[in-house]
Amino acid sequence: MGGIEGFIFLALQAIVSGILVGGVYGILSVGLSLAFGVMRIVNFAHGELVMYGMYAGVVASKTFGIDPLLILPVSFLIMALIGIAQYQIVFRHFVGHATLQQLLAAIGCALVLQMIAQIVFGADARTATSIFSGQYTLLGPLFLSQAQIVAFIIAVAATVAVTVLLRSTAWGKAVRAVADDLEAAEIVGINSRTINIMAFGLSAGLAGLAGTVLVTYFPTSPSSGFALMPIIIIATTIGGLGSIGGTFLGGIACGVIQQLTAILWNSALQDVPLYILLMLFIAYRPTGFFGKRSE
Amino acid sequence: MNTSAPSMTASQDNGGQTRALLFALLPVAAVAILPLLPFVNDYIIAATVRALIFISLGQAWNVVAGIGGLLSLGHGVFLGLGCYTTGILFNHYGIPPWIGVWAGAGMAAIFALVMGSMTLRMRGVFFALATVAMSLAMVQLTRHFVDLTGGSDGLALKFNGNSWWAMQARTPMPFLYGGLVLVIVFYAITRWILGSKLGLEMQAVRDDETAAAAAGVSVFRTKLTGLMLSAVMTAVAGTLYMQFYMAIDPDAAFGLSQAIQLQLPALLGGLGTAWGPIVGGALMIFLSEVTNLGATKLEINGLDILVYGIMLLFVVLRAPKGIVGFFMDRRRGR
Amino acid sequence: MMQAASTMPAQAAAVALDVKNVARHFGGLVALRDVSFTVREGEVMGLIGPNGAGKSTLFEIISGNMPPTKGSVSYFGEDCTNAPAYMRRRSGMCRTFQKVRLFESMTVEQNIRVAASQCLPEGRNAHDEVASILSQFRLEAQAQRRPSELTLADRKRVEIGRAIAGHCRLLMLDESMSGLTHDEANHLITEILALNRTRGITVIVVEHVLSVLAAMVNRLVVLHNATVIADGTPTQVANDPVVIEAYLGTKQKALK
Repeated sequence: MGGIEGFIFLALQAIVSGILVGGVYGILSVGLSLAFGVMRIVNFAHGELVMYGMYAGVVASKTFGIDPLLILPVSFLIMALIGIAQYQIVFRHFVGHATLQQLLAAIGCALVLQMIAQIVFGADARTATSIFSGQYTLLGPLFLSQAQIVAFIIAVAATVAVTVLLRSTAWGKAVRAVADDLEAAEIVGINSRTINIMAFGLSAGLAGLAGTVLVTYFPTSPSSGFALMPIIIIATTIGGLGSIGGTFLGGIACGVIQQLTAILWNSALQDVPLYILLMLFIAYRPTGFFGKRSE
Repeated sequence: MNTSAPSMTASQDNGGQTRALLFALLPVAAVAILPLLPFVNDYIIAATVRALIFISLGQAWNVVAGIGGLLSLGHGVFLGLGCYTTGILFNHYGIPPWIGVWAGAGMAAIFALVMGSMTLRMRGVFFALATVAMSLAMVQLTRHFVDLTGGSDGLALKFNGNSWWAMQARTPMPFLYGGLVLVIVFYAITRWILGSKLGLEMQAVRDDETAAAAAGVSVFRTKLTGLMLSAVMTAVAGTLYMQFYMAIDPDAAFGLSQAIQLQLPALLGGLGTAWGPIVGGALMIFLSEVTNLGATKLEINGLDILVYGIMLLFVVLRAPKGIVGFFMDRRRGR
Repeated sequence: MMQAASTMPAQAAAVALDVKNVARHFGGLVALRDVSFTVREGEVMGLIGPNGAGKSTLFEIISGNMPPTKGSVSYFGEDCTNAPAYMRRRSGMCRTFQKVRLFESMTVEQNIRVAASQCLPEGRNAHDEVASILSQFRLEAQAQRRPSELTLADRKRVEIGRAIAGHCRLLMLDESMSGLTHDEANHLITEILALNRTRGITVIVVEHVLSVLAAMVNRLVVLHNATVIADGTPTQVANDPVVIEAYLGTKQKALK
């Protein structure tokens, strides 16, 4: 292939696979954004919940021989319950303010969850296989992983479902009322405690679901949670902490930038532009593209 | 706190200070005569040096987080700058760490200035996120520039035998005294800050930024000064870290678990107090040695990290003022 | 009845604060539209209006915590629309907060010392200034206490002491009387008027209850629906049909 044509082809490949990967980054991040939007909680252990979601897929695939994609509801429920436990033990003390103490408590959770995973599952990387794992499709000149295409579709569907849930149901309206003004919501008779528990459960459940989707094409290890947190934070900050749709698009932006950097420049430095972008956003537009004013 | 209270009589003040001085000299003396004691071996001395290093690092973090209330979760960046700058200057250019330490401190100050200027106008959580991102970016960058940093394998100091000039020794003993001096100096710096105009400004900003501005405090400049001071202290302690451990790799320098080890001494002991990191750092290293001993027997890796996590949760949820804060409250009669 | 503020010849005194055509929008919401008034040096001015009239927004704009969408603020003849809050404080523009905001981890003495050490002009001793503020507000006995150990009235006095420490030409009080008993409020008013008389400090008092202010100010500005609807002596304002209408109107709305 010629120079310029080759370049265009590579860029196109990077953009399309970036969108596919980015959609999954989006669904990884949506839960974090939701917890922040409703409760002002930055859950640094969100990545750990994702990691457990990944292990759920591994267990289903390797121990029971079930396709990970079939256990998505189970994985959602388990993580939602773990999330609710986490909320009841730790985060309910910190609702409303992302303080130093809250961030530290979240890091404490992350360390504990990570080490429990290491003791239970061992330190080695593990994989899970769905019927799409390792299958590839040629789309015109583009070479695409089927697992990634399926993961992207599930990510879009889940994000749309959450958006609809928050926009159109009575429960969703109550959640948004609590997010906007807790006192006012209490005055009109909304029990913010229950809302917070449910919202946190939803946030954690989404992390689990995202993890199980991700593990169909990406191996997991106990440190996967920490490893994924930067991307989750960046996607959320670019898109706007607290905005579901914005965060999803932020994830896609991360995916595209990462893939472009990896394919056209150097895959070892694929995240560096993202960090620079994060700094610029924090300095000049901390509410992201779609975020509300916070604090 | 030593804040020349008008209502307190001079004699009371003196008596209190003398007692405090004696109280402070005891642990110093204990560490100083440690090598002379019969049952003490190199293993115990090395563990004590580790404690002294992490007390120093914790004291540096205490300045920015405890006194200044800034949520720096990426202080590993400044530790790493101290380690790598000293190490690279020595390995590649033969410059001794006595000079390298100042180069590292300068790098940390510049880094803190740039990063702080970009992020400190924002409130809390965004600064915290920026510090995390910064340290993770440093991991990738150090891995990439292999020629300079040794990449993922890390950077090992060239060792040419015991040497004052190279600040290197086969035994941990010299570092015991180096660490002790550093702990005392950092303690003095913290005490000085707490009693100074800067310390008062930092605490005002920590308590309430808007009210601090309404009292004429330049919030941004105060935060930036605190961050730079803390960064320089961290980098200086980083040089000692490098000389003692003789090697550094990207995760040990910039990783999140390292950042947490920098925070635990102050958190355990008590944020914003000069004694906090000292008590907390000693406790942290003691607990980690004990758990590592247990972990080796049980053949479980990373048990110390699990213990750190539990300690962190315990302190934040049950003892937010740490050990020193707990006793200070009791003395104040609450 | 309490003694009202010194009635200075208003024309002769310098303009302490000049608010010109200030507007502030929050998205589509108009919090302030075209607000203008001046305060002369030595005046004790009341700024009143029902809840939601824009008082707080105006207060934050004047003290430098929020930029206006349009318009300008000048302080003793100098435009300070873009000056940060701490610079305004150092040049003597002082304020308190609606909900008392003290540095809770510090002693009363340290609270006042922070401001004194920032704002004192060259050559004066911060230590003396803190002592003088403590004695002026009779807080010597509480100097080493933490704010959380004080009564609300004392907390408010500490806050005013911190607000004026070092250098003060204009003092802006945000609903300082709320939450106080009748006696405590009267006491505080006497102390504020004393500051006006002895130190020549210009005072702006924000309240939503008119009765508190009538005894204390020599001028009232009424804010309603994001704009100034009356400006004059308390008697003039109290008899202004527009004001009566506005206040009755809100009352009726509030009842619905």
